[in-house]
Amino acid sequence: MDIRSQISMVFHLDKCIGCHTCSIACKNIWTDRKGAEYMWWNNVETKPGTGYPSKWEDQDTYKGGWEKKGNSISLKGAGKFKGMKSLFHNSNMPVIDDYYEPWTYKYENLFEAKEGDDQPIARPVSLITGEYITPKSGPNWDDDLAGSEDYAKNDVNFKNLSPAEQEAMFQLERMTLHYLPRMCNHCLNPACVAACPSGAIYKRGEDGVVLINQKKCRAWRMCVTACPYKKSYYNWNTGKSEKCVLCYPRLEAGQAPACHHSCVGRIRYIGVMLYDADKIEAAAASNDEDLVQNQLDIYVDPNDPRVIAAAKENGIHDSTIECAQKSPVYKFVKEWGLALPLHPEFRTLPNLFYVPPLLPTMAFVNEEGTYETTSENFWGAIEKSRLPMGYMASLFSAGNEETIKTVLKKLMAVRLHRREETVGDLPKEEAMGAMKDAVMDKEMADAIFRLTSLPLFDQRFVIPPAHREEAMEMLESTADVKGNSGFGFKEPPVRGL
Amino acid sequence: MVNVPILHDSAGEVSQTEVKDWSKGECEPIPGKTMHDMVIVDRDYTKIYDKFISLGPNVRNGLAAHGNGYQCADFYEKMLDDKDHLQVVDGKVYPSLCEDEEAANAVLYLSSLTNGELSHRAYQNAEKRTGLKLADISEGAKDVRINYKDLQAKIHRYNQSPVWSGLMNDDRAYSAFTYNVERLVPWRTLTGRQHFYLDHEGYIKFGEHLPTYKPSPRPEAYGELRKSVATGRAKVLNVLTPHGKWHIHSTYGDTLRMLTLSRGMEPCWLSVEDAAELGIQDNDWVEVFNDNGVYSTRACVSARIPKGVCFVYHAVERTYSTPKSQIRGGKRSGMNNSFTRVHLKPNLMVGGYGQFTYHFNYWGPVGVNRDTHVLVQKMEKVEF
Ligand code: SF4
Ligand code: SF4
Repeated sequence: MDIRSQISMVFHLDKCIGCHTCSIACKNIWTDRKGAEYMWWNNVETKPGTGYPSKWEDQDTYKGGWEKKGNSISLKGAGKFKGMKSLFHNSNMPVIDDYYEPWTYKYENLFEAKEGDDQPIARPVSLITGEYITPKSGPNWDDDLAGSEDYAKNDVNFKNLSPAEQEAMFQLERMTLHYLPRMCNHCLNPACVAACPSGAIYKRGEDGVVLINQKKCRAWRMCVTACPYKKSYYNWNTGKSEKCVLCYPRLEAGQAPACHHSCVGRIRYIGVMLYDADKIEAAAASNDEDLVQNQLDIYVDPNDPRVIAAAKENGIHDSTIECAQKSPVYKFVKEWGLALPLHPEFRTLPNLFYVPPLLPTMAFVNEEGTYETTSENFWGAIEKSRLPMGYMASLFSAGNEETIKTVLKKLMAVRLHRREETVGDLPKEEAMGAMKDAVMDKEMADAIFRLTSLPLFDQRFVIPPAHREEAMEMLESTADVKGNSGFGFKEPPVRGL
Repeated sequence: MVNVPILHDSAGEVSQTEVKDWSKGECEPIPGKTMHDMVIVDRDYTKIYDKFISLGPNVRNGLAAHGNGYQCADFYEKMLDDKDHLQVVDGKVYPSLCEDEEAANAVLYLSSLTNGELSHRAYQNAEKRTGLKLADISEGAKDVRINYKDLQAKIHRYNQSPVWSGLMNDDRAYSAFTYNVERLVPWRTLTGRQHFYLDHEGYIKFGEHLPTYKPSPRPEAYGELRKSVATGRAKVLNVLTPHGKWHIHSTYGDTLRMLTLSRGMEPCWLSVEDAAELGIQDNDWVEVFNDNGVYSTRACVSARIPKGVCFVYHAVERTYSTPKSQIRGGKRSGMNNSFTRVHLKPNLMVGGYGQFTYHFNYWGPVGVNRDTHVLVQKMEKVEF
């Protein structure tokens, strides 16, 4: 057992309202700079849709992530060694048009236009070339099924759906959409780290945050190809790659990342997970149908005395272990089994888990063309959800529909139970039966309800103290550097270019 | 002289049980009773600025909203004790509203929501009006005073107040009408109850005394396509201009961030079927027009839109991205309100009858301009 600590996240998709407040918070803090205009470390997509960069999930094109080779795995696209051939021309890289050409408006024209017959306007101009453009794509171009024929209908996750199932998803009376907020998953088996020829990307020991050392990055951009989530971006101005830093300066001060903090739907949870690093390789090389379960098995019980002992042996601080015991992520992922990784088949073992959306069909248009609102069960059967099981399974369980059904059954059981408690208009047996089916008792259903619907800030964000003071002492004697900042310089000033 | 509509919470609110038009001689014109009120206001226009920067002594007579008043003369006097925040005008001393923070603090100090004592007085007055026991609601918050610095430092929960209809005791979230349901305070209607049936002559005549289904008028009835002719392949569509996803009218939506996160301008959403019929592809430039005006924008083709309908989220600013209209001789195109106009329904002007009495932003002619008919066609030439 090699116990390590990982800061992990849960996004509850039933609660996401697609407001993009998270994206704005991130953009304003981190990527409002030249060369970073097109980057959205946090972005929100409409599903079905092709997302940002367009069709990022299609690894036949982008060659991101890992592929299973016997009992092991290897990078699908560019890598340290594979990449040698393509070092100077990496063809699996998204180009700016796959993201979008960032633009602004020629606002000064509103003030400086020559006098004329017509009101002046600010035309869009490219932030890269400065030329006039008509925007053709954006970081959220297919919002709310905009351009559904070109985008939603080309969703990569349709590949295993029958034409009839696909058609049904676009029938006006039964169509649906949900939002998918995305960011770097700070993976346990990060393809970006593995692919970097310069060793510039590293996973922090204390909390597993994946960072790119801006001094070591040599612009090979192998991480851009390797990350199957397309969450490593190349800054054309600085010539370095950049990615989400999980707001580590905030984390170290005990604050949630800005995207979490600002989330309007309060869908985001963050907390510590303890995991057994010895199990990573085998889990990443599992068969598709076992991927989710084997990944979940890596995370260990923070209350198990053996785990605690092993964690201490690895130097994990008591306060971190305590946080792991109170982790909302542990509850959603392990105790309740409600949250799943996005595209586990990419095999990077992502640390961002999603509670899939429950989208029951509560009414439908029958053969006579009338709107029918009665169904056998109170909220209709799980299998008749608006999103086909195959679609959800493609997103969250590497195609394993049973995994999805199990989660949705639990979500439904909680709702039926609460409906029975608060409104009381359905038979008690129906709620009891649903809970029994989902293998949960009343206490668990109520706990899920509370952490889903009523959690306060401190229940959603359980962040361990950073103990930077101790990390610092490992590197240098604090007495030596005393007085070096403030009236001195920690690093000597560099003059000139 | 200011013309004032017959107002809610005034004697006039029960004055008009029948629809009679004084201007046609159907009744005697009596201001505030059979016609609108007329009020004489003395305004010294050389003193406007002084009035803006100082809080006048009429506040001593008390403040009121939604029929709930409270006395606050003592608090006005206390403001005069704050020697650092005064204005002297013509030798008289007033609380100052000159600085932004002074103005904010004056509001917070005199509002029942942020001054617990005033909330308590308002509930005591409400007790007198209703004969119910209500002042217990504010008892615990009598000493609460929230000022601007407090709000800068920390989020505060404001006091309960009879001005609002929600109760927030025991940390519960605000929910409208809990005051009426739980404390049995009458609704501010003619009967003191919620109404589904409206027994007013005007509503009965229009068949609107009960909320029943009525089909939408036919495009011709709107009369907005009498002169407009299609110059290309065009189609009549019902256009809606609903609230946008992330703007409140024009606020927020036209920032660079939100424009980047949408389509760079407010598009016209079209159904897949209509777009195909019109030869319009997603993101093509289109003109949306009728006799009232034109909006030139890009199309957003989506399965989300039913056939025969299109929509443009309101309210678009004409300051960016708007090309010149080809069907209007190359003049700068307008925005979503260019092709809409107000269609007043006469029964919205019924007044002086309980809850049908005018109150700003509560009762009066509504935003009836959100729905009409337009021609939509592809824009072959795009000029700025
Ligand atoms: S999501 Fe991508 S960038 Fe983030 S750690 Fe995983 S592989 Fe690396
Ligand atoms: S801020 Fe929260 S609710 Fe809004 S889009 Fe982001 S994740 Fe969803």
